[in-house]
This record gives sequence, structure tokens and C-alpha cells, in this order.
Amino acid sequence: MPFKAITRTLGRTSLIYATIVAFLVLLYVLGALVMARAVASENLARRIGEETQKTLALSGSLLITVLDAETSQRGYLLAGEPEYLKPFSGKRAEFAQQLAALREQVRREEGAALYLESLDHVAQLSTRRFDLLDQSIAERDRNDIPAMLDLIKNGGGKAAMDGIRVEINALRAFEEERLAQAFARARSLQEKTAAALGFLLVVTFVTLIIAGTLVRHTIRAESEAQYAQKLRAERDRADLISRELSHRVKNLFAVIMSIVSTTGRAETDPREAARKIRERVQALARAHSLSGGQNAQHAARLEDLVNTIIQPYVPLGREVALSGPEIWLSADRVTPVGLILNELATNALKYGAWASPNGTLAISWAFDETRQGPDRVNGDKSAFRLEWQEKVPGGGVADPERQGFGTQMIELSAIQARAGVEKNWQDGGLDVVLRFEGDSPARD
Amino acid sequence: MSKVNGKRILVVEDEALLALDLRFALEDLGASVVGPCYRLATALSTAELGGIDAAVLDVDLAGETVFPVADLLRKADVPFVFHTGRLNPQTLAEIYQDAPVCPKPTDPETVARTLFALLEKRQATH
Repeated sequence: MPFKAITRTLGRTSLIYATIVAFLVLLYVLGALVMARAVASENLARRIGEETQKTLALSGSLLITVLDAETSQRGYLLAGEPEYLKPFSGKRAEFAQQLAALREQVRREEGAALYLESLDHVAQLSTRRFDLLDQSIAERDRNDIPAMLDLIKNGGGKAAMDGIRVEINALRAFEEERLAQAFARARSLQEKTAAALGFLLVVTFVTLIIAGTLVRHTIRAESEAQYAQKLRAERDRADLISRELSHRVKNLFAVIMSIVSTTGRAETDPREAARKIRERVQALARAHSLSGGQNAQHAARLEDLVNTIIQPYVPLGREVALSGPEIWLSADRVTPVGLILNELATNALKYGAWASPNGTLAISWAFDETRQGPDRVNGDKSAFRLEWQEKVPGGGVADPERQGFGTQMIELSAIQARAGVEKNWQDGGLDVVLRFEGDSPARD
Repeated sequence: MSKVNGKRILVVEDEALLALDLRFALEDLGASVVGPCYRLATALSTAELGGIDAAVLDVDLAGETVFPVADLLRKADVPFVFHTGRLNPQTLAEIYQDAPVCPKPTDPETVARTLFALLEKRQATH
């Protein structure tokens, strides 16, 4: 059952197609997820970068502010010029402001809460540092240099400043590490994404190749199945023709057998019997070869049949007048009409027009307008007549056969060909009219 | 053969020469022939008239099949033989179990003798 095979193949193929599509969709969804993660990670890294940048900048300016204050104080202590103190004023407030901003920044940062304590420590240390700066400036104002030097040496100012540096640098180190980690993660994800996209590309390519191969296979399977179907139809047709042909051949053998037995029955002379059998079988063969053995409504032209059957009997130098329109005979009429024409021709040769030196033969046919009856309504012109007209000046030879088997054969064949026969003697010649019924359109 | 003398045999055959040959063969054996009928319509009307003792039926009649005649004869209990080149004889024998099949070409004497054998068998049993 090739048809079943096709549907089975198609079913399997479409299942494979569906699986491939589902597989690809899944892969692309995964790819999209990986990409989204990479983008999110990059965004996070950028955000962390902005935060750490800000924290680093704030902590840097905090250190600069306290160093500015120190530089200004030292200039004043060394030179005693009030000009040097100008940058000092307001540094304490500026520092406090910057520290507050840094604190706010650090408080917002993730994982940096630990450093709020450090900033508390920085606040303490800076208060002490600024107090010492103020005191040393006050000693210098009073010109008490030894007290001033003592304060610088033993006041703990350096320790406070170092403490601030340690705390701030620790914070900065943390921030830098945090930034580095975020970017490393983003970079790693980017690399993974690139790899995933590359993999996706390769898989898509391979899948497309597989799908293409499948499509090619399916098309080939389909066309093979179609070819097989066509072949089967051809074989069935050939079988039918062969059966029909076999039937025709069997029938033909039966007809030949009956020609042999009926002719043998009618003739007493074996030579004459053999000759007649041969002529009749030949007429059968010629009629058969003309219709090609086909079972058709238009199997042979009447004119062709007349020519084919009578040609072997026409004596040298004689002409037969043929006239009539194109009329086609259906397959079932070709053989009996052929046999009738054969009988008429052999009789003409033996007793009729061709037995006398001046005899003539005219064969004419026409559609029979008078015999159309009800078929005329449908414009059916298939009723027709055939006239066989012999003229023998001075009269023909007496015809012992004409009441014999030849006549019987003509009458039987006429019935088979659905025709009526009329025979007359005119001017010493035979005149035969065959009137053929119209083919009823229902019969084919 | 005396038992078949004068029996009326219907001949249905669309090939004129074959019909003639069959008629000669049947008449030689002492039967009288009804027909021959060349078409289904004439065969049916002839069979309906009755007065038939047996029949020889060609299956294919110029595009029609003889089966309506066969059914009519079977109903009237008239024996018949098929004389055909068309069907597979096995199939035909399955449908009409009592009817012998003479595949074409069978010589008419054999067809006639097959039919008469059938007639004698029936006369012996009746």
C-alpha cells in the first residue's frame, strides 16, 4: 500500500519537523536568556562603576581637604604671615560636609556598611586633628614657639592623620576591588554569551542542513510513490486491454470456425469450399485490420471498408464508381458489413457485373433522411443506406447461389449490422439496398 | 437422442455466423431452433413468450449482458448453457450453478451435445 506509506512517511517527517522547530525555539529562548543576563550584568557593572567612581572621588577630596588645611597651618606656623591662613578658614566645615556626603554615599552602597564604622572613626580622628591644628595656630598667635613645637611633636596629630589615611585607603581599596570584580563578572558573562551565540549559530546551521535533507527525502519519496501509482494505473489499463483483446480473439476464432463449418456445409466441392472459406476469412481479416480491433463508435470509415473488401476482386482495367459522404461505422458493424460486401463482390465476379465484359458496378451511400424517426428531434443523422448497383447489358448469368448460403449469410450479417436488405433485378443487373438503423445514442 | 427430438431450443448469439452454425448443429441433432436472437431486447421478449425447452446463451450481446434472460429462464425452470468468450467461466458457474459453460471457441456440436446432456439428465430426474 504505497499511499499508506506516503502518509506514514509524511506523518513521521512532520513530527521530525515539529521537533526541530521546538528544539530551535528552545535554543533561541535559552540564547535570549543568556544575552539578557549578560546585558543585566553589564548594566550592574556600570552602575557599580558609577558608585565607586563617586566614592573614590569623595574620599580623595576628603584627604585633599585635610591636607590643604595642614599645608595652610604649616605655612602660617613657619612664616607667621596671616596670609597663609586664608585657605585654612572653613576647611573644617568643608571636611565635615564632604564626610557627610561620603557617608551618605557609602550607606547606599551594597556590602559597604562595614565602612560606616570606619567613617565614624575618621570623624573622631578628624575632630582631633582639626582641634590640634586650631591649638597650634593659637600658640603661634601667642608667639609661644616651644609650646607650639611641643604640641606638634607630642599632640598626636600625626597619629590622627595616619589613622584617617588608613581608614580612607581601606575604603578606597574596597571600592577598587568591588569595581574590578563587577567588571570581571561582566566580562566573563560576555565571553559566555559570545560562546553561546556561536554555538547557537552552529546548531541552527546544522539543523537547517538536516531539515533540507529531510525535505529532499520527502519529495523524493512522494515522487516515487506518484510514479508507482502511475505505473499501477498503466498496468491496470494494460490488463483491461489485454482481457478485452483476449475476448475478441476468442470470438474471432469462434467466427472463423463457424465460417469453416457453415461454408463446408453449403459446398459439395472441397476446392470450392476451401476457396470460399479463404475468401471469407480474408474479408474478416481485412475488416478487422481496418477497425484496428478497437471498440469504438467510430471504428472505420464506410468508404475505406468498401475499398478494402472489394479491391482484391476488381478485375484488371475495371473501375468501380464510389460516392457518398463521410460515414463512420461503429465497431460492431465493421465485420458483418465486411462479410456482406465480400459475398456481393464474389457473386459479382462469378455471376454479375464482373462476369460480363461490359458490366459495371456503382456503390453509393447516403444518410437516410426518411428513416430518422424520433431521433431526428436530436438532429441524429446516423441512419444511412448503402446501395450496390450492378448493370449488365444483355442480362446477367443465372445465379444458382443467390438463393443459397451466400444469400443466407448476407441476410444474417445484415441483422447483426442492424440493417434491412432489399434485393432487386434491374436491367439484368443486381441491385441491393442496405438500410442501416441509426445508432441510438444510449448505446455505446 | 430420441428424447431431444423436436425440442425447442432458444439461441441467443450476437455473432450472425456463430448463430447460424449453432442452428445447423442443433437442427442436425433433431432439435428445432427458436431465434436466433441477436439482441437482449428480442431475446427477452422471445423468452417471455415461453414454449422453450432449453437455451444456448452468449453472455455479451453488443455491449449488453444476457443475464436478464438467464434469470427469466431460471425462474421458468428452463435449462441453458452459456457460450461465451467473455467472463472467467468459474465466476459464471458460481452465479448460475446449474448452467454449464462452453468457452468460445467451442465447436457448435459440442455446445449442442452439452445442452442435450443437460436435458436428458433433467428428464431422468423428473
